[in-house]
Amino acid sequence: MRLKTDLTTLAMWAIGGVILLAIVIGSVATLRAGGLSARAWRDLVVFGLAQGSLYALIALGYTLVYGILRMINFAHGEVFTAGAFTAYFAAVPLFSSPRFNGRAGELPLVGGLVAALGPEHPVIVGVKLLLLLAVSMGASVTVAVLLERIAYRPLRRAPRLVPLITAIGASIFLQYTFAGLYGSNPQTYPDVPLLAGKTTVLGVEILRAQLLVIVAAALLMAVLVFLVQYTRTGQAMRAVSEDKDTAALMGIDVDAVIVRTFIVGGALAGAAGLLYALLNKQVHFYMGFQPGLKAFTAAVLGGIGNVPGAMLGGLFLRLFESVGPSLFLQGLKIPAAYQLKDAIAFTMLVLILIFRPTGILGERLGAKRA
Amino acid sequence: MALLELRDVHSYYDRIQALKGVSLEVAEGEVVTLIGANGAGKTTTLRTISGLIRPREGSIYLAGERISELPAHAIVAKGVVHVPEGRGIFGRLTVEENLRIGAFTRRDKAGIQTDLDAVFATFPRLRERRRQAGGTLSGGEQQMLAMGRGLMARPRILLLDEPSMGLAPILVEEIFAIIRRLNREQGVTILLVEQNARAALEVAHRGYVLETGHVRLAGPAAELLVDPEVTKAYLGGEGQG
Ligand SMILES: Nc1ncnc2c1ncn2[C@@H]1O[C@H](COP(=O)(O)OP(=O)(O)OP(=O)(O)O)[C@@H](O)[C@H]1O
Ligand SMILES: [Mg+2]
Repeated sequence: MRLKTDLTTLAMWAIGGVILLAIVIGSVATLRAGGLSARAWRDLVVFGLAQGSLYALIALGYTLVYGILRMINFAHGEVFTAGAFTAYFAAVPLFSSPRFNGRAGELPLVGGLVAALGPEHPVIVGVKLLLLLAVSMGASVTVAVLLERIAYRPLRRAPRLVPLITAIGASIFLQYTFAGLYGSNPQTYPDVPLLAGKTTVLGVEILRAQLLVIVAAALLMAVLVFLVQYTRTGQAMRAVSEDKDTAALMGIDVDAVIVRTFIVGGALAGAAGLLYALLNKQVHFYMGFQPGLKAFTAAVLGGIGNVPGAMLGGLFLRLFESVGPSLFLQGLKIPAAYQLKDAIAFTMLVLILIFRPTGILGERLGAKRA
Repeated sequence: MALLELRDVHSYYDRIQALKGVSLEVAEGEVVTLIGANGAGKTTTLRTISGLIRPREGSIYLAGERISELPAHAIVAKGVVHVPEGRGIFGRLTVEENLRIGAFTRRDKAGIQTDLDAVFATFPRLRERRRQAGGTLSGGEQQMLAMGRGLMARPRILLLDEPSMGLAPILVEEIFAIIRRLNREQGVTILLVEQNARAALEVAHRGYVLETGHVRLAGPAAELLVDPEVTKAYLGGEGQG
């Protein structure tokens, strides 16, 4: 038995070593050949950071719920979709109907204000975006809370496989609910004035939408860290995540804390949904599937249950996906390198699970559960 | 009227019946001990009082008010504070965070600070370690932290489940001395579950002997200490006193 375990470990390390070696060789080859300009690299990094902050926001939802309930909320991708897709129906009138863009006077007060300042005035655009954010977060929070209430709470004491399967079922149920309610065709978000084009920050050119995503995500994550670290709710969340019974003995309403956790995770996913839609323009009923899976991967990479881990994991994963194809896949002369970014994400997952099974910042799960 | 009263309480773990009609009382200002063999139902009794388990039959009253229907967190808010078996320290929270979370049901900042200082005065070692993660404390320190955390709630009644478990004899003595002081000097009412029956009966006013989910015997601690049945079954091997 002993020998067999050692052989397995050895084989895993060998696989990991080969992959690492390939990455190094590929990168060196690419850099020698000098394929891309410094500017192209920079664009890839900025792109990775913007998408990575979105992944981080979604990954936080997985990690918060896992931290509290030790379950993977597989329907979290659909919580994200709910925000992005619902907000689409508010975005269309807000940004393309004449009524809200100062060309008609049907709503005297609002119309008048918009006409006076102009539809491209930063205050007007800002208020509209905040409205969209409220719609998006509201929709995601609603779905998250309903999931907890209807699908997960009755299974709180069931074996762990049961809520997992339920979550997968809920995910599919929600996808087709969106398809039925909102239609199965992709929809395109209207253009938002001020968000089109590029701007320069600290000498780096960046798409304005990307800048918005990075700044908004950073703000939201700062708020989350403050909430978890310094508020009563945050303290209660940390206590419940360690030991529910003892938390109840402290006078903490455990069910209420669980609901709040879903609210916080849902709100972050809703914000991520809107930002994603502003950046990528398209929404559709299964839009949450791929980002959900990637964000889940990111949460595991960072160490599931760990808040900074989810943030780091999201950024790191997407940065790697963005830079990876040009960096080492091209150097290895792999054809159609850009089609392989998903392979990169999951290869990273395999690598991390081999070398550091607990994730980058995670603690040993097995030991803790014992 | 008793501060805490259990009337014919029956509790189950799924289909396993752990309490088969337990009745007991604790008066204001008393230390009452609950002794009994492993598996007798001592922990289950405390978990039922604090609402972690709902009794299937019978009722529990706090100062005449029925609390057996309330959820656990609401029972704590009424002043029934349970320091669980195995201590239940939040390992990733600091010592001070553990203590402050004990006062979760309270909003009076100044009072909480006063009580924090009082706990640090009772357990000076906790003050030295206030910024340390709870999980890094020794067993004895964790027990002190658990008791201190219980006190932070300003309990009307403190339920202690085997506070001396796993501690070195000198620490056991210290824990019992603290229990005595809490009661005699600060007037804290205590329901004490103990394996260490002799020490528990020495600090308690009254005692109950639990056997497979029933109250087998009850009476003043001094009488139980010399009761032949109790001596034989529960005090036999524990000569050190
Ligand atoms: N979670 C559980 N599930 C099923 N049965 C349980 C559970 N906890 C306790 N029991 C059973 O209930 C009975 C009473 O247990 P309890 O923990 O109250 O005993 P105790 O008097 O505290 O014992 P000890 O001195 O060992 O702590 C025992 O027969 C035990 O096996
Ligand atoms: Mg016990």
